[in-house]
Amino acid sequence: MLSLFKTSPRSQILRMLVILFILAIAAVPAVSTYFTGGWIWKSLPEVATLEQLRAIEKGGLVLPEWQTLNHETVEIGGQDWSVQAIAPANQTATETNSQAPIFLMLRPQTWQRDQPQVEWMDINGVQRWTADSKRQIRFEAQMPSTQGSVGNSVKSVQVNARFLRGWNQQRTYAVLQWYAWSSGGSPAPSRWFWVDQRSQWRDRQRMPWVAVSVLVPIQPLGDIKQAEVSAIALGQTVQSALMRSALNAGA
Amino acid sequence: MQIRQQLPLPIGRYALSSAVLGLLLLMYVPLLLHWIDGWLNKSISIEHEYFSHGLIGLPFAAYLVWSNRSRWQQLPDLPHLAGVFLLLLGVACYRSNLTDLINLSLPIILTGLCLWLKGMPGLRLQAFPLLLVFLATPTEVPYLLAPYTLPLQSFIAGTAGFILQQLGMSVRVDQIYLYVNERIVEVAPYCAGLKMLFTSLYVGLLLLYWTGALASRARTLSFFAGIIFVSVTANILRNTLLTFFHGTGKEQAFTWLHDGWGGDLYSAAMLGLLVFLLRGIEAWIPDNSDSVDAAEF
Repeated sequence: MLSLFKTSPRSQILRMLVILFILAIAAVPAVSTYFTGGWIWKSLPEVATLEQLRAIEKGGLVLPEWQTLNHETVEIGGQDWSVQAIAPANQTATETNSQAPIFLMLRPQTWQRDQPQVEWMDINGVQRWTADSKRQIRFEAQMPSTQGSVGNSVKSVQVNARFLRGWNQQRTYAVLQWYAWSSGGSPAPSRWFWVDQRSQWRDRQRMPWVAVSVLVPIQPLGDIKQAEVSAIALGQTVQSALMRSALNAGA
Repeated sequence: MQIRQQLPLPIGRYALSSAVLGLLLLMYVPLLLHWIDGWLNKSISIEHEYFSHGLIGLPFAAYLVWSNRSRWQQLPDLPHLAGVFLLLLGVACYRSNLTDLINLSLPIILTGLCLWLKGMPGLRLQAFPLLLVFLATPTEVPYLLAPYTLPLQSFIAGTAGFILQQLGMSVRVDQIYLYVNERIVEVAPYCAGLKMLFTSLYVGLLLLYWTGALASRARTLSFFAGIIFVSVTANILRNTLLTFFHGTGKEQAFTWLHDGWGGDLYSAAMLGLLVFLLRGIEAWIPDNSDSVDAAEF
């Protein structure tokens, strides 16, 4: 086949025509963009749920069967975090006062170019704690099917999270951290990156994210194993609540 | 029918070449303008700003291609089929929704053209300009690299803290944070000097090519090692200065070096140093070709 394209002046023309034809596939649609000005590289697609994400930053997240004892927005590493002290809803006030609260720290994406960076490092920095017993754990979080979908099937997503012990002079916590998005979660920014790229490529939509850090108090320098089950249960609740509200444009 | 008769069958090659060039310009002038505007006015994303060395590299690549033109014309017309695949791939990337793929379509299509027109010899002839274009193509790679710069960030924070302590300041270093007078300075991933390192390596590559030192492996390797050393040192000093300014409340000086033209001046001075570094290496490491000449005498 290649011999067709070799040496003779005719074949040279043929080769140039092949190039022209292929380039035209891209150049012809580009011509219309000259008039509309809608070059893809000029702007990223909008983040559909930016409003809901900003609401979390200001007001925290409402979790079923949990009560919020206190909420504030704290600047950590130059970013605003929503910090909530929470306790089980059925706990009485006296019980709540006697026990150290669980902290739910959320840092949602709040502008278009906002990307996960060094959130875990920022938390280490502000808590001034020593982090050890680090490992990865996986859990499934469920989202009740939205109206209109077939049957009562429950959609569930896989979340990878980092689980570690963070301790300083005052407290020891079992810490569960991950970046949550509508189809899963991972502590690695690169995982979110590829999911976001895929979403932009296929649907020209962004993949909004929320950095989640759950701090469960444990005995001073205690084993985080004792808090693992409760931390995961809370993690599932948080991921589901986020998927229901701020992470899903369709919800 | 009359028109067809009037047209000489072998249409002028220059007409076709101009048409190809025209289509390429049509496709890429807006994109290149976007890059240049982004690099000059920092209106592009932080990651894409890392490739601002393209401001030097792209014109230099164009100059090299232009000066290669007679050698290019002398090459036999032996097309390589991979060229068509690359052209199709490039066009698919150009029409995709992803900025990075659109950006990458430029080096892909240019490589495809070389292969389709002149085969492997053509690709070899244009390899260096193509490399320059590829390394100047903005992508999100710096974002993916950022998590791996953590050890470098802690090293920079530690060294900067040590220097400031020697100057009598009370500094506490915790991982990538420097605490001075109850103020915190974070050596963020984008402060780790990856951009400066990228630019230095790129400019180093240009210098090596320009001086012909690229032919000597010993010189190339020691120059790149030197660039990494100079760039990391310069960045430690820069972060030390920034911490000093921030910790002592000299906000104006901090902003000047961090966001203003002070940073550009600092980078330019460091790039200037590279010329001396290369001179030094050329003086220290004998040129291989020289020794061959000497043996012949």
